[in-house]
Amino acid sequence: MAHDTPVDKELLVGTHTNASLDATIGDIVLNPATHNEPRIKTPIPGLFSSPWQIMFGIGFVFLNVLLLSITMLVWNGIGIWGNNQPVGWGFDIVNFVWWIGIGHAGTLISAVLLLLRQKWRNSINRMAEAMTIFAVMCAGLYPLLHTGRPWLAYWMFPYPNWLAMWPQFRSPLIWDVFAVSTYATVSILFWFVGLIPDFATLRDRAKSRFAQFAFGMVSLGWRGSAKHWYRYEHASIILAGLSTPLVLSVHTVVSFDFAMGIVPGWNVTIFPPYFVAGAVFAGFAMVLTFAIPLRKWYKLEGLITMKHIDWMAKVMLATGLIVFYGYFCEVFYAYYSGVPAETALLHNRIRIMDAPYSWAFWVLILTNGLIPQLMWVPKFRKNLAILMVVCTSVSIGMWFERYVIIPISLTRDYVPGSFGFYTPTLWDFAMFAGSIGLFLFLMFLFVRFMPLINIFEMKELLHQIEHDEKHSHGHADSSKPATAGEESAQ
Amino acid sequence: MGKSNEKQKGAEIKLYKGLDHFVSPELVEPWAADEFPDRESLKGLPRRDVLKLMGGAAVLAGLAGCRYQPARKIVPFAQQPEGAVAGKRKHYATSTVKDGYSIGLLVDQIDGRPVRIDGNPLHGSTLGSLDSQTAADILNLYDPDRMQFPTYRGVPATWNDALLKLEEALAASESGNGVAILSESVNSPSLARLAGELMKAYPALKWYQYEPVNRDSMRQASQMTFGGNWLPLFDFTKADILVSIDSDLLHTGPMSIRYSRDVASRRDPNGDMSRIYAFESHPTTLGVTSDHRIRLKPSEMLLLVQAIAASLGMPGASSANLPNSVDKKILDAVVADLRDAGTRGVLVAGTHLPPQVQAAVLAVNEFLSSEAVTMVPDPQPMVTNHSTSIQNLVTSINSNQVSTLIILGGNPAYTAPADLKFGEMLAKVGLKAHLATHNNETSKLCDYALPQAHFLESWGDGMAFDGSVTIVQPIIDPLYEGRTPLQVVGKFIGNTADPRLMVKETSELSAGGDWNQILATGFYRNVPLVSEGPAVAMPNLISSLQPIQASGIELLILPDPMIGDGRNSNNMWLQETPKPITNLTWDNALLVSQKTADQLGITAPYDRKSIIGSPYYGKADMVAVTANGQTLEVPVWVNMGQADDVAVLHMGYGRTESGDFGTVRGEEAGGGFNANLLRSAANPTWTSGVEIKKTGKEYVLANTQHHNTIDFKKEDQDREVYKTTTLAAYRDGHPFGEHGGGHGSAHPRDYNEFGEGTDISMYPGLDYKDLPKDNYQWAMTIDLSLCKGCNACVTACQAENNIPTVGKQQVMKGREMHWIRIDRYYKGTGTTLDKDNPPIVVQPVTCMHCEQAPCEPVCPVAATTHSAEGLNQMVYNRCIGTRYCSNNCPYKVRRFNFFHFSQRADNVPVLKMLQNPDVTVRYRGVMEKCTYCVQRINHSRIEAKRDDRAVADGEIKTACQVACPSGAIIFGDMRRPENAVAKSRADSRNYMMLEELNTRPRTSYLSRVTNPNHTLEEAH
Repeated sequence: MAHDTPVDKELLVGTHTNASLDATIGDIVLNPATHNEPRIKTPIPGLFSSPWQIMFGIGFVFLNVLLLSITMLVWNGIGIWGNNQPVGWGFDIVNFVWWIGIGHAGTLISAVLLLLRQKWRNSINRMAEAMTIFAVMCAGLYPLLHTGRPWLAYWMFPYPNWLAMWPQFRSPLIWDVFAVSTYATVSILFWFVGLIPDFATLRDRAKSRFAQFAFGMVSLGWRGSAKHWYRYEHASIILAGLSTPLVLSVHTVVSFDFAMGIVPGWNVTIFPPYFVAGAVFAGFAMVLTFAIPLRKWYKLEGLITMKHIDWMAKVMLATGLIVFYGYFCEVFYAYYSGVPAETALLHNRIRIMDAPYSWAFWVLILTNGLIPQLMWVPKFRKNLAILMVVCTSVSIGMWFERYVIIPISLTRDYVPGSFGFYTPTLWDFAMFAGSIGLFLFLMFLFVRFMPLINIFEMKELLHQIEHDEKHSHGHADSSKPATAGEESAQ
Repeated sequence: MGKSNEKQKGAEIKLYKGLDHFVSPELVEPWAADEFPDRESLKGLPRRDVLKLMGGAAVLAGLAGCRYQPARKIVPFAQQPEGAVAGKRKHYATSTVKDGYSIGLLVDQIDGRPVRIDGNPLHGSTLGSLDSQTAADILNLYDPDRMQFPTYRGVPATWNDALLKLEEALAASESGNGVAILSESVNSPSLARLAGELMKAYPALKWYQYEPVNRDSMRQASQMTFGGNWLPLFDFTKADILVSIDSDLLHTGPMSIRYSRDVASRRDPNGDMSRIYAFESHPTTLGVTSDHRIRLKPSEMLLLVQAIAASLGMPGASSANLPNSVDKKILDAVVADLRDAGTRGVLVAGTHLPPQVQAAVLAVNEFLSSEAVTMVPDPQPMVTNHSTSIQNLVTSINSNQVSTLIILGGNPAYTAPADLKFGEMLAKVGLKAHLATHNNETSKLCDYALPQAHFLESWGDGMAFDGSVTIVQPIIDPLYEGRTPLQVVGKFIGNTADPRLMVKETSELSAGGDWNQILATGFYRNVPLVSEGPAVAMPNLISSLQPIQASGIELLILPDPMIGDGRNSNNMWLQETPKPITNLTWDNALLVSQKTADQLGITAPYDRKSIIGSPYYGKADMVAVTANGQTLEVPVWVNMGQADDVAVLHMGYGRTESGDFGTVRGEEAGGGFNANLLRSAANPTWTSGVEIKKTGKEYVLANTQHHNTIDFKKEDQDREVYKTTTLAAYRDGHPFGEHGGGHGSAHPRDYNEFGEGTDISMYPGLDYKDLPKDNYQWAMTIDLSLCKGCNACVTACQAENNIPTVGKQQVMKGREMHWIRIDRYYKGTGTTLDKDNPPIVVQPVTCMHCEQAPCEPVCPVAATTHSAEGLNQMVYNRCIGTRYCSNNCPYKVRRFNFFHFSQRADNVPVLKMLQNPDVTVRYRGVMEKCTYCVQRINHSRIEAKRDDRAVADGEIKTACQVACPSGAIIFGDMRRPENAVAKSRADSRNYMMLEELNTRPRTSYLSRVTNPNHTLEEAH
């Protein structure tokens, strides 16, 4: 590939060679000691001395909570949740949208940043893509299980049947089915294609016969020939091209579930861009939430550098501001429209004294609107503790955003006589915690069995930096970074 | 021939088993010796094969035992009954008792089982309509908790045993000495006739009557006024001015259904509209209908009537002190209106009020010589004072004068005033038998508990309030061993005739006319209506009435608007039908006004504030109520519009022995509190000087409408879901009020021009609207001027459409399944709400069948679609339950089966008989909603098609429409301008709820018109 702009050298900290990169990343998979006898131990001795075991353990426990709550749900019915009249959708759809949103950073990083030739994506894209897939899996649970008769949920797919019944294509839920299933398919493909060269590396480095065989199978005979690389580059550009519209379309379609509705608080035209921005916002927060501990546990500070973290925080700030603007627009529309139902909705959100659920709106403004403003300060963007707090706050805030929009709008819509309340039950929380468990479970399986950083792209980056360095001897200050003052925390 | 049989000498006698034995004995011998000679061959079987066979047999035997296959017989009619067509409904006229008098009914029977109760259109008590309690009585028939067979001290017994024992006791007594019978109000002329014969045979036998809801004080009032037992029969079609003195005229009492229709007939703003003043201690359905609602304590009612009488210039009426709570202006307005109305004004007193008040009201009506009231002789054949009667019984039991007590119906151990200690008294009676529908508090204390037949299983008759005799004819054979009081009493006098013959004999004795004709119409007129009323016995009655002494808080103990005195406590429909105005379900609560609640330091559950000040629906505070020397702990519901210092508690709750649903099951499942514990024999209904103390405990009350206000906030006012105007404004061309006017008046539209409005739609030319107009186009209008919020439509719909009940917990979660609901609103000014006496309005809401239904495009599987006739249809078996339709319904009329709510109807065989076979029973996970009773539409369409004609206007009546006592609901084909519904939609008062959403509902409303007195500002 042609490299027209020099790469920021801070994207790779320390001394690296191709071999050292292979070892650093590959050993996380191939050497169980990295997990079992980690360099950083937890305070708990024994079985849970390693962070991986702890996190995987938590994931496994809550995965079982998920299975239990699914069993309870299918056996008893939706009634075990807090959904009611008038609140048809509660935690189920809140969680669905939340998870879908979290996935978006992965696609943005892997596709959009690839097309834009942003090299800083190289060390985080694999992890972000994995998160996308797992988040979509968690999200996909909910539309399936939120139906009253989940065993018939397949009726939402257009399949030939003797009833000659198609799904109802006017329904945004059907658009969802297509959007999310396309998204899942393309994301998995993209992820897998990117993994092939790395699987080959692992195959070649593996000592055990089983690992050699397994990675041999999944690397599909990759030998690293020029032809292979030529094909690979084309495939990934095509997939990136396919994924890029998905970044925008999936959450746009998800937002249509509400924007096409008639419920005050739902039928807002700004929803598509505001949902997409929110998704990227939530996604980056989640990537950071995982990247910060993982780079520490697996000594990846040289690969996922403070530069990465700084830039991700900036993306988060930018998208966060778009989302905040969205909130402002909602308030403005409600006020400016003069439509009674919309005005009432606004009051229902903001008036502490009159509205039962106004607290949720203010939690949202605090966690999603105000706390992320800390990211304006460069110092805070480099402070990992503050970053973790902000990222967690954003994850909470994005969840509350959907909570405020979905069930709370439904509690008071048009006819005051049927205004109601929404109280989630234990099973609502169990299912949510369970899906987080599933996510953790899958995420740490991924950490254990797949290279969590793209090895060959890191090598490419290394090559590029070296190339830039050689090149810059002739040209005095071409590679002088603008961020000279911001030293890495290393 | 004969030769072979001869005994041959010297030959051995050989007996042959058969011919084959003779022919080939070697084959037969082994069989002759051993029944199973082949079993030797089993020895040849390999051991493994034997084991295999055994194993196989065991498996097959096990499989066969896996599922219990109930034996089911299909037996054809040996002789097909004439006119019987399977699945076709038949209608039979019958009757039941409502508050002591009969009302005429028409019962639908399908394949031999009654499935639905309607009013008898021919009978003056119902005119075809119903109330909730009667509509739900069908569930009492199929109640699985009914008493099914007689028991002796809890051990199964037989009717023969029981009757033999009782007859022996009767025979052993000296002409009935020591034998007492306690019945409910004897309303049946046949029973009265038999009772007369019984008492002739046993002169010393005592017959007592007791019902907690009775007409004692009305009869006392009649005695005071007329010196005889006369009852007021009203004709409200002739009442221009109706003044209610704390009367719950439209909800309680035997004639409430008829009166609702009559009152409603005068609420048409295009006709001669009446004006209603309601002086009320607590909001009633009449208060909702009224033009002026004034709060007043029960004790002040007498002063009010006396003041009215004095102002009217009644002789002997001295100007009394007007109660402080009544503005002089209101009195002046009432008096002026009554003067203007002349003979067309009428006062109505609540039957729970002390006799003086009712007497005063009767006297005022006499003075007015009101056309709207006729004094008729009490049609009941065995009139007695119930309070005295039960006290006398208790006294005689206490003095050991009763050795045998036969209780026919009722539940006195529960309903008798607590200070009589009736339950304890029963222990003093040697032999006691109780005929009852359920094993209740009384039957548990009796030796014999005898099952009482439901009226749908019985022959009988009864006196209606208007003097006609109604026939009770069975629609089904008794499901269990139930018998009627008529049969039991008949047995005692040796009359074991078919009860049908007893009833027939009664009709013949009173020259009822052709028996078949009587059965077909359901009634005959026995007592001719007296045109010449009685004369007032005391001209100066009004001033000589004893003043009512009252102090402190006054307590009214009234029958529950749904479950009555407790006879319906096990009826889950009625338990879950929201009580008018309060919208409470599954429990009773002490109702107090806002001010009284404030004084007691009590916050309404709907008025709770969290720490940060945001409102939520919380638990109700509990109080200890002390009245008549007895104390009861109950939760409080703040009932806006109630008079201050008045507490109302409903009877019928706090049952200890009832069925699965009636018995108290605690806070979780409801069951309420026993108001009878606060009643005393002296003050069974009204008592003053009541002490109420907050206990600090809390209790959760299930309410179907958590949010209580409309017009309270500015933005709510602007919604205009409920439109109202005054008669004067309406006549000036403002059908939606002088101010605002709303969308309807701003953009007048021809609502019958369906397909119109495409100019403002983003999706022109959709679906059915392009279909030829030769389809029927169904529509409904609801007249808000007429609706009084009684909830009869809700229960009728539940009965018609197999709607399950969900229980208290689910109601609290907002998951009740009713397809039609009555939204109750308190009206404010936009910034304030008069919490003391807010105008109360009610609005029935059901599926609007929008032409542009927001629910339809969002369903991912096309489970809700539009019919060519304009129905918004729900395809249950296609529904996967995403609930998106419900979210997108702006009227929130869709109902979701969060659990398998119909499971009980599935599991309990007798409840299967209850289900309407024309309506699908829905499974869990499925959305449902009002269908405009599509089964009735289809039925009529098929009938019409068969006769090669169009469905006539009014031929199809939805269940809610039939039930509505006020006739507020009109349904039909809106295409033809001459149809009632088309006319109604063309009315200038017609508006659509949330019209601005352009959903174009097929259900529209007629704005409420009130007729306030122009001298009074306060009107609604």
